[in-house]
Amino acid sequence: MNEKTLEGYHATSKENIQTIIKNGFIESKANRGHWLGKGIYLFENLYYAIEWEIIGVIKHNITNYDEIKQKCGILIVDLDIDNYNIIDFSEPQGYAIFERLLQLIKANYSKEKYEDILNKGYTYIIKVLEDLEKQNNVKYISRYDIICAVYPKYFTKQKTHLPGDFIPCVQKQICIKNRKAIKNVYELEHSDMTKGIFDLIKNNRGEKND
Amino acid sequence: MINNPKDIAEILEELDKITFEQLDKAIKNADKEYEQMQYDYQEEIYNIQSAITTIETNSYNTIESQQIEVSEISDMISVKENFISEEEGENKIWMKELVLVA
Repeated sequence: MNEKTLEGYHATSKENIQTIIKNGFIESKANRGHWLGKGIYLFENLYYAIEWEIIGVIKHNITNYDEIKQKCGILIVDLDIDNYNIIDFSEPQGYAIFERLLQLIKANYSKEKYEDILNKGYTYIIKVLEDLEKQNNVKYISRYDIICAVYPKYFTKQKTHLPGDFIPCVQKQICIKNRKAIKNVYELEHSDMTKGIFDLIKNNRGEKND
Repeated sequence: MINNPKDIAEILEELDKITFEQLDKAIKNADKEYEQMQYDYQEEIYNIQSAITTIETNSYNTIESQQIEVSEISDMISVKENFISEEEGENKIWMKELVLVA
């Protein structure tokens, strides 16, 4: 067993946990929140999964850790990256794909149009790439079963709530395009560690609650 | 490092072959999809806002209907009280008459 595995975290409501373990995930539609297109979204860092429990799943601030334990859960998803293709857009080699396409757009369109495209962000560029794939019958990104990328902070007003920019903290997300890449899905047990992260989030959100 | 440089080089090579016509078509399609996505997003917000308004209206109606019910009950009580006091009065007259007869 030398298979390389990538671990991701998915936060959801308590009632969804067992359904997902039993029946599998439902792919998210591509919209503003699902910026890497259709797929199953995970956080690479547990911190953001717990924060998602607070701000995303429940949609309001939770001050009590027991409340979170009752209402939410976190799934650990093991991904087989030995037998399935993965690309990380936050690494220079992965980002080169975007860079090349943006260069092409810049060379062929007005400054205004180029800036308009930049403002539309990753979701838009992925749509352009997907369309080009259909036209040319070439797999630029759909050859990948898993896409990783750092979530741009400017994307929504909902920031990371981490105080200061001394050393930038990044929020890396994983988008599973091919569910066959999923090896295991199981629920994370709440522990002192998750409680510690919860307290840290509460503290961070209190210090810079924008 | 996750990315396979050979793989990426192959993709970059393929991207260089894209013509302006192909790119323009892709951008026009992406514009359309993006507009639709924005529209769906707005619709979703509208639906959520409508749902909130419905909940607010329903709870207002429930409170109002409960208030009507309470006032109806209170009216009934005062009618009954009047009736009882009238009945009591009649009883007193009847008792007086009995005493007088005796």
